Amino acid sequence: MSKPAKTLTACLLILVLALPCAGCWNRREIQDLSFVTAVGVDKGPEEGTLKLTVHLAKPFAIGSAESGGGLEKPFLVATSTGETTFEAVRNFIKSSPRRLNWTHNRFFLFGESFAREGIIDPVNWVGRDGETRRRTLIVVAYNSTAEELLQAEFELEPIPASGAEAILNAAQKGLSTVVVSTVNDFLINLKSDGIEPIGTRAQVFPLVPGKTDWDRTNIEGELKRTEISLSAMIAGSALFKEDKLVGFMDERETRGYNWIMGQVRSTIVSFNYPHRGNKKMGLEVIRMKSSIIPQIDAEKVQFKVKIDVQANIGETSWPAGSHGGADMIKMVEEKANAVIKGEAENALVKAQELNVDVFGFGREIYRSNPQKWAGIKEQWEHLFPLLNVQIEVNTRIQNTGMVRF
Amino acid sequence: MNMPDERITGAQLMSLMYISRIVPVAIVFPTVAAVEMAQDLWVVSLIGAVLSVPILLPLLFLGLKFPGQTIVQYSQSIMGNIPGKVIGLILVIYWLKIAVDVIYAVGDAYTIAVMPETPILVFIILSAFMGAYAARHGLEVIGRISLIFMILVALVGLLVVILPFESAKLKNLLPVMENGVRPLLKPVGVSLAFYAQFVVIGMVLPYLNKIRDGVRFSGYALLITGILIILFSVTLTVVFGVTAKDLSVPAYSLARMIRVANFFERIEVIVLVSWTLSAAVKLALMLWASSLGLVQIFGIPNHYPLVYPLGIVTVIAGYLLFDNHMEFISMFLRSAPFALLMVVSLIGLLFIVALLRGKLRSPGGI
Repeated sequence: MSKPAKTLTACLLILVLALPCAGCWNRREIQDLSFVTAVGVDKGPEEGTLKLTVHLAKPFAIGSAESGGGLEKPFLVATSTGETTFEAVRNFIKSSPRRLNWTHNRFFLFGESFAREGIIDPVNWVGRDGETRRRTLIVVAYNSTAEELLQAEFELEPIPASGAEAILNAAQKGLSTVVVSTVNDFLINLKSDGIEPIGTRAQVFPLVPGKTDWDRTNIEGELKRTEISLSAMIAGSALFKEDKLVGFMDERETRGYNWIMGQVRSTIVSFNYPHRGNKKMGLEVIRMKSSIIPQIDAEKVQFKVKIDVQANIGETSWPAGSHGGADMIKMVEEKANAVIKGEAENALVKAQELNVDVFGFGREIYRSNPQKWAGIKEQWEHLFPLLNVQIEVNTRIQNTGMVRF
Repeated sequence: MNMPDERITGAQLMSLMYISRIVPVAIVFPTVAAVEMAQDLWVVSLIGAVLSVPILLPLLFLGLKFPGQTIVQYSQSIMGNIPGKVIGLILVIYWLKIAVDVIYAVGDAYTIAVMPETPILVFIILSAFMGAYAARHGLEVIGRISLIFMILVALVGLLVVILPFESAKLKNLLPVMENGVRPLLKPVGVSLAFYAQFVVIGMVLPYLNKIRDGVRFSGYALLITGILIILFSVTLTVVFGVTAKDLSVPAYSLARMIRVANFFERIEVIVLVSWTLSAAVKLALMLWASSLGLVQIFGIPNHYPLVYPLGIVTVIAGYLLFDNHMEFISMFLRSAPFALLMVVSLIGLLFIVALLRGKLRSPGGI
């Protein structure tokens, strides 16, 4: 190639390569986007439709909070209806000047009555769409619609989705009374045999309890918002049979579920201590692990769940140093074993009553003995409610804090 | 023939092999679609990596015995003029078919992952142009860019394999091979069909600056790709469980799961970088090999005039052959056993005939 021809080719090449930099067909400028931070799904006004409620971040309001730009909330709530999830998502176009962007959405909320009829369509959309993420969290509104739940705000965090995420993370780490379930987990559990999906439970409550006419609190601090009347509590779990909600577990039952699944990170176990006049004491769980051991023989299938807990004595309702030595620690350990075992059994009973194998006992059989599972797979529906599970708890008290027992 | 005196190093050979093998894994990973159970995936990858060695060895052996000759040339030396040329032509068509697969896969992946409204033709033409432009400049250019890109692609691969650990559940790997070995046959065949594409190094070996490096570095290439593919299979299964089988573009989906310490996330674009770079190199290699093959079959003075027309052929074929993603995958899965059988029998035939005609006794003996 001669030199001018080479130069010309190079220039043409640069031009061709520069073309896609402009973004081609699917270009989206940030000033035309509106970011969804949470979305709720409810039944629509007509039969067979659904209603989406979204939280959209208002970037100008977030920015103006620092410069004292008024009392604006940093988010807005918008709704849309459609026959399917995706149709409802597109229907936001009718009322939103900005295009909704889903890449930052962290929550998929479901109203209780909607969830009871099946949530596969929204969840499938999350798994299929290119903008939504499989790590989006699945939350079910307890006793309310998702729209009501999305009215809730948190006093210390201007964006509710961030607040809810912070609560969920902290509750998982410090209380272990929640279950964190992503769309990915949900889809896996939905498709696997011998396990049913589970979701997080959230509950909306009036911020000033005890008054019928909610006195709206005025907050004029850093956040410069006018009124917060509703807030939300994230605790417990929602049990699904396939994609349909069948019931909830409260906080204690959910912790029981977490004991069995080995998901308790840290929590406080409190009980009456019989050797000290039934006064209360509390243990701080440091770490735990559990193993689910299927015991399969020709006639029957049963399970053994071994729970190992390591805890510290966190509080006693009697003065420190007055209760003797190491043999007393043994008694505390035994009492704790009984309490934890009770919680785990309650969770199991709840799941067996609703006949939803959220623990994945069936999948455990499949994983350890696929041939056996192939034989009993069809009857699992009838076997699970009567399944014999022996729970064995072994608590070890490591220390008693800054003072002796 | 008036070929420029091109030379590539052993490391460049390794990078060419590495990228050729990684392209399908990084984009659609058809082995995932072929397995019956997601948890079989890593076993399949392991068996595939091990069984690739007996495919590669006779090829390397022939390359060493016929130094300075490409596979198209020595098949003529071994089989005689006309049968040799027929074999050469089959290989050329095979390489063009691989180029068509690559070109469609990358366009398809782009439209699935990031730009659904952009016509697939745009990506097909852009990548074909990139590949043909590099191919026209010869093997030395392709080798050098591939070595640079290999480092980038390997880095992306490691990030994608390691970083989604927060979503990983090791128990998803159980049970291992619940239905025995039989369900593994088909996916192992698909995996091996990709290793069979290494037959293209029959064109590359004569250009090595030290022919002895060929064996060592292709061994490294097998080792690195094998380990990376097994790791990738494991990560895919532990993160997605039974749903791993449903993913259209697994590597991209995996990168979308990355969220480390609540802030390091949304980095999936790095996967697109690896797609573009590796597909361009593989395409360039295939276009170069098929144009050089045609040169050596028909005695054309040089490969320059052939590259762009072949590029256009792949664009048209890539655009017209497949209607949608599902058709592309199922067509690929159906053709994989035939491609594997063809390559294995061609290499076997060349090897046995050369042995029978006593052409393997001394190096360079014709």
